[in-house]
Amino acid sequence: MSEILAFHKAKAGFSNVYDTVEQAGLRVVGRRKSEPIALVLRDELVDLYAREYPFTTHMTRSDGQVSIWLDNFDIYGQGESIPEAVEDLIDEVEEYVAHWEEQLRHAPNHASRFGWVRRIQLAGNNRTDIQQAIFPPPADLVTR
Amino acid sequence: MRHPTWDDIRRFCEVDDWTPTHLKRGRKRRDHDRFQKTLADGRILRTRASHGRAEIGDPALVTRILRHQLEVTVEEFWDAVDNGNPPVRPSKTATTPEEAAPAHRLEDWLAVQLAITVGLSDTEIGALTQESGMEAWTEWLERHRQGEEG
Repeated sequence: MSEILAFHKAKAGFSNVYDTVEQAGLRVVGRRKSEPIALVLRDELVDLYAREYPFTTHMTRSDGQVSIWLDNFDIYGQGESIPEAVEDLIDEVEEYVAHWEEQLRHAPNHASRFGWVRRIQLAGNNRTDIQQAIFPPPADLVTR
Repeated sequence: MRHPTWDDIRRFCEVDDWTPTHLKRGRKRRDHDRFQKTLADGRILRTRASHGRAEIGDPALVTRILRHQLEVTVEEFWDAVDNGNPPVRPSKTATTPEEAAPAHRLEDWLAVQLAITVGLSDTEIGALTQESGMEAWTEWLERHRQGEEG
């Protein structure tokens, strides 16, 4: 079982820490008066959160406009075509997550959405990964 | 149901004392006004209104905006817009989403893959069933894999 590595040791030998995570999958680092943190392989978290926090959408069309409502954040994207509506929704998702990190995480009607927020955070700035997180093909039909 | 315009959303936010906000990420999209309101219990509501003055149109989207973003009934919304009376929260009645034409007959993930990855038009996607959409998707995957192997 992995011991909690002191912060100063992790800082001095971060390359070794990285190697350990790649090999063992996890390394816990602790600093005085702070909560310990865990460094883990990103894909493990991506898979875990994907199972626990699936996104739900509702796509409709009216007057030449496509609308996509995202239940999990109560936001929507709109456009004159499906790709445009998806692009607008991804913009809104990124905006929501930025707002969540700054303020919404403290609000009672947003705090419990952290699982879906983590999924977007784990995608970084990669819009294709965000799209795949929101509209995932079945596991046996993934292109990569 | 009477269809609100984006100006009606702005008028509601003004009457209900919402605060205009700015983009958190400073991204390129500035074609919407954004508002938020912090309720007495600490909950934060947020919404946006397109700069256009057109009707929002999609009845399902309208009812979701009212129910989930503004947290008001249809009657409370129009009483605020028409008469300047802000709603009293919590709202008494939930607004049930109205029926709207689905954008397609497929699962949303499949419509998005066919539109963005395969490049089908919305018209072509609208003509597909879930079954024929899956056939189009798996055929594209097969061609894609053969292309990678070749």
